[in-house]
Amino acid sequence: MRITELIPSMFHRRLLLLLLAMGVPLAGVVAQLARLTLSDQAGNLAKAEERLVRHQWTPTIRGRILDRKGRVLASDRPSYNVTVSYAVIAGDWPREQASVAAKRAAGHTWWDVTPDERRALVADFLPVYLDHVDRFWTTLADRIGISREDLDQRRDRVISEVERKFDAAVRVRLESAVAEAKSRDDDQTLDVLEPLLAAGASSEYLARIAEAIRTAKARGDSFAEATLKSLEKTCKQPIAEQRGQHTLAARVDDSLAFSLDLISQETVAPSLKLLNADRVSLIDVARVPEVPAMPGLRVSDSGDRAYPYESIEVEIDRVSLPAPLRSDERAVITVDGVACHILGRMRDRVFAEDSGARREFLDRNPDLAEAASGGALSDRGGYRDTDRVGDTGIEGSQEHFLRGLRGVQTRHLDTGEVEVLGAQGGRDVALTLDIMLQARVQATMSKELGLAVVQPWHHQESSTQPLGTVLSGAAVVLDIDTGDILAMVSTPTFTREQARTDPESVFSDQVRMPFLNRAIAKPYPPGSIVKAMVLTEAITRGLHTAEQRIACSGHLLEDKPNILRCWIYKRFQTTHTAQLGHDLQGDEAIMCSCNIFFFTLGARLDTAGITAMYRRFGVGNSFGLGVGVESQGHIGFIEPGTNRSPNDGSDLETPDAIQMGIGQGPIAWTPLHAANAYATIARRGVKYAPRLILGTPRPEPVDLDLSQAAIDLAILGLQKSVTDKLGTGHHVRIDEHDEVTFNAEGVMVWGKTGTADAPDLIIDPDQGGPRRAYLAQEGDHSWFVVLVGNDRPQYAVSVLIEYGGSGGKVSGPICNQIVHALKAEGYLK
Amino acid sequence: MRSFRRSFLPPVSDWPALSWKALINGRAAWLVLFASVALTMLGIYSINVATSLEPKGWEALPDAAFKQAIYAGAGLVFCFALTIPNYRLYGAASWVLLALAVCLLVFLLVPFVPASIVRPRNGARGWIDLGPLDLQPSEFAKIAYVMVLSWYLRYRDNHRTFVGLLPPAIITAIPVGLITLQPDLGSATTFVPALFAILVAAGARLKHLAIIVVIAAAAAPAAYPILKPHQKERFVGLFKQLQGDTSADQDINMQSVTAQRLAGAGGMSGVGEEQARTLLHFNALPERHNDMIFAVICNRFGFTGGLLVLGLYGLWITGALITAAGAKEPFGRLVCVGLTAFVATQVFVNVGMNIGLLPIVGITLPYVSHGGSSMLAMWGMTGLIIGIAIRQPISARRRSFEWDDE
Repeated sequence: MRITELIPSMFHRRLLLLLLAMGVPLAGVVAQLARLTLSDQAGNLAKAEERLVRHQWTPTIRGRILDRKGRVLASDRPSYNVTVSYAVIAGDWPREQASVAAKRAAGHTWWDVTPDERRALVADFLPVYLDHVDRFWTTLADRIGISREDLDQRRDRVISEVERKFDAAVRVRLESAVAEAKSRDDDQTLDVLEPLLAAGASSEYLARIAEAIRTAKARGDSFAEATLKSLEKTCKQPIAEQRGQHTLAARVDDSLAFSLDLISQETVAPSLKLLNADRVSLIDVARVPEVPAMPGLRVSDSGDRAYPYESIEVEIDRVSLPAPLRSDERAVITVDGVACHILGRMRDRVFAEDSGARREFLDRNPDLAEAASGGALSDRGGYRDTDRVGDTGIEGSQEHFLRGLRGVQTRHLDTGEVEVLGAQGGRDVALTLDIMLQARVQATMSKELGLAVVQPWHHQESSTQPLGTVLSGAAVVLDIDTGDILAMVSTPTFTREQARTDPESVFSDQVRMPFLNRAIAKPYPPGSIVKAMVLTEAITRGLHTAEQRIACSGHLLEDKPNILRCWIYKRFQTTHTAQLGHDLQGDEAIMCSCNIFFFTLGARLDTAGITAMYRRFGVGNSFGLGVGVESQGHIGFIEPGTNRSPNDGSDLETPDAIQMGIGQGPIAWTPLHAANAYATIARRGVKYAPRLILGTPRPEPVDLDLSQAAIDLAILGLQKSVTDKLGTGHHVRIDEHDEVTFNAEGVMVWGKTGTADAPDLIIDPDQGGPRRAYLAQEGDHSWFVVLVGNDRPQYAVSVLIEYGGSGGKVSGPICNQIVHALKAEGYLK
Repeated sequence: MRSFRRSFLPPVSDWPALSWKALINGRAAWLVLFASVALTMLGIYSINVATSLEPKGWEALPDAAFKQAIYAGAGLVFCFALTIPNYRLYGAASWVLLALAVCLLVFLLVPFVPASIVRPRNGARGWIDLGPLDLQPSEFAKIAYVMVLSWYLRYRDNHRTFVGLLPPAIITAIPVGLITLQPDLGSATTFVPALFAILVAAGARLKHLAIIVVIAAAAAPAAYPILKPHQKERFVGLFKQLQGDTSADQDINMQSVTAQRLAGAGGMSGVGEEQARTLLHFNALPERHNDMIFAVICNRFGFTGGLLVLGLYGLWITGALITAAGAKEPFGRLVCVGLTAFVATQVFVNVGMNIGLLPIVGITLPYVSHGGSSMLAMWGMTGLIIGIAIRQPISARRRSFEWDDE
């Protein structure tokens, strides 16, 4: 049936048509409403409810670092920085604000007027905000207590620094655009972009691009114009520094910080006295928004880290010093940068790697991850832009423990209820160090005391070390019973202030290398200090016996008197056999440090035996103390282009084993390796892993199964070395007098000297460039390692002085002073 | 079949005369009155929920809801006052009424009128400040326009030619142009569906209208460049939303996204009143007592509430169209259709922008949104429809708008 028959009235048909036409939008509306309410309800409700709570972090405190006696070596102290946003510093803010105000005041008129009128309106408002900012600077300078000129200078410094960084960023963006075009083989784009990189004033890239756009436009080259315009857009992107806050006054006191923080939240109506009134009919000044009284100002909690023992005054009794330095007056020495290598430093910038490292740490420590999560919230210990991060040393390695967990304040806006999840301070980390002993050891090696300075009695033969040269070195004091590191000094050291203000002097001095922790990070040839270990190994292996004697013939090979000589033959043209009147037993060989004896044992041990010996005593492994770079030492030759050696003897031959019998040839270790090897001998062959952090789990001690007779013999030799007149560590000859090396009363010392032939230090300032390489240091490294105790070996002390010369003459007196330091700090009676 | 037609849609000449008695007996204008009352009540309740965090009871309504209740009372009085004279008198006076409305619209645009009288809102000069009431002339212009157009077309047939469509177009262009200048593009565009609906009902050739729609649709993109920046922004925002691009959710799409979130949170039957107050308050939906009231209703009453609102408009529209169908007199017929078109358009545009189907434009939800002028105008429409329903002559002077379909 036709519709006209069903509904004869056309008007009624049309009404029906209109009604049906409404069905289409109705269906759409109902469908969308159903989608929102029925299928997305849960998500929408959750999102809406999120608005009912506000979370706010509350600050936490970083854990302290303590020494073994509970002295606080590092702790947080409240401190505040006064920062201002870059937009205000650089003067963009008044323009932005004028534009906002003009737009608001004009209301809908804004859209009706011409662009020129809009610009004029903004210009009308500009003086208002320029004046506001100007008054802000004056007030701020007044509040921080500096002159307006000083404040302006600080601003200028920030601006020039940020502009420099921006220019560098623009250049990098330009270069990457070129590189990208190159990778696409896009010659057309390259032709446009490459001329921009041509040499010239470095900071003119944006101007150059603008100029190039004008030229392209004039030429009608639309491709170049479009390419350059898109490049300009990329290059103009602000860098982080242009969006961030910049410190204008660091570490201000609490009261100033609090008062500025309060003012920073105040807003005021801008004074419109300076408003240009020409166009006032277009605007409603009542709509001009309020502005912060102190625009861009923010007081940030800088959470300054304090290191109260960074600088320590030490009193040293000079009575026990060698005669030329001896005095009845006590020396008062201020040592700076105490344990700086160990405690490490903080940095102000957060890197992406930090967050990655934290995630890994939390993955490994699910219980800590649980504590950090704070319920539904993200990691309470996570990194935020303004955080300070432990960078090096203990601050770096223990970062995740030291770092606290922020508190969370959850405010339920609807009920007004506030839930507080308290901040949790970071864990304290207690070190095995005794900071006062550390300071004393450092003072012992200071320029002021004079022991680590080239002295006449050193008989230094090196051309690079004239009299008065301050020597670099390292010393380690180990507690034999526990393996605790009581002191670990590397000189020269540096202060945090120095690293901040003059980083070149810390990180770029290739000769003195203050940043380097010589006690663990640099391997040195050990020289004669290994003789005790070689003896125990040879006897343990049955290649020698406690009673067997070896003749010192002056030179090992009968027909070659110029190589493999004993030091006594080299210097005095005699032999130890002649000196003693008989061939040498093991203890005597250690006492006189006879090379022929140990060449012979080296030959008997051969490559496999000598390699096993060094490995047994720790070479080839580092200790994992967590205070930065550690060297594992090396056995064998360094593979070219790497810093590694095979460490398994595979590249050694018998002549190498002979040399290694006296600690020369392809062998090197660190002062910590040396102290630990001696502590192992003192424990009669039981090896502990040295530790620096109290309470950390350690690997089980390892019994090396050394022959006890051999250990007795070695310990006897070490004792004779410092107590027998013929011992190399017994005395130092000064001004025709023999001075006993160790003079602490009531203390027993077992020790061994080492004078190790060292490779020359040649510095090539520009790595193969036009500047000539030069010989910076040459000569022997000076070693002395002792075991000390009141009645038994309690502490192992190793001292190394780089290019210092004779072990007995240079390191001996330093070692003696460390024994005195142990007494002074109560470790020895 | 014949009996069905007889019982359900009898020929106009067979319909009994409408009278007060007939209305009381259950005639269609009741539907309109009922829907108007229900929507108004719902509006006052929703404004109460939307504007106050704490429930204060009916005796201490928040400011906006209290005002709305006053407007509703005034609207009801206005409604019944309008039913007293014969509605055809309004037709006779329609040109004068439109002229009055146009004068007011022109007055709004006079540049030197002080801001104390014409205070721009959101950049639009659409209101005259009359103390307790802000008069929005465009609301009344709608009614005057419908009456003029209906009066003009009531005995004609030249609108069945293409050229004959020109005078109605010119009549439309006057208020539309003035309202666009405020600028209130949203209100201005509602006149176009009304024009088309009246023309369709008045028997204009569908072919002509279709041609116009096609040409307009093709030409629409060309109008984009002449939009104001904030208007363009809304289109950009809508496109982003439809493409699932959330980048603008914090700025240009904030209002729309918040409205959708709150509407969606209502689920099937809505959240409780207390929770609704909390959610609305802390989600800070702009204009929630006004243009965004539909989201408030959906939040409070869910999908069911949304359907209920749409159903009430369905009732209103059905009632009005049945009134039109029952009217024997051409002016009354077209007035019913025109008013229906305005209401329907506003409902679809407002609901569409509340649920993310259309860009945010300043269009109120009839009877529900806060606003005095809107409320008076809407109740005026209710009054007109009642007036038409109760004053039908026994028989039409001639059968109007009856030609053979093309």
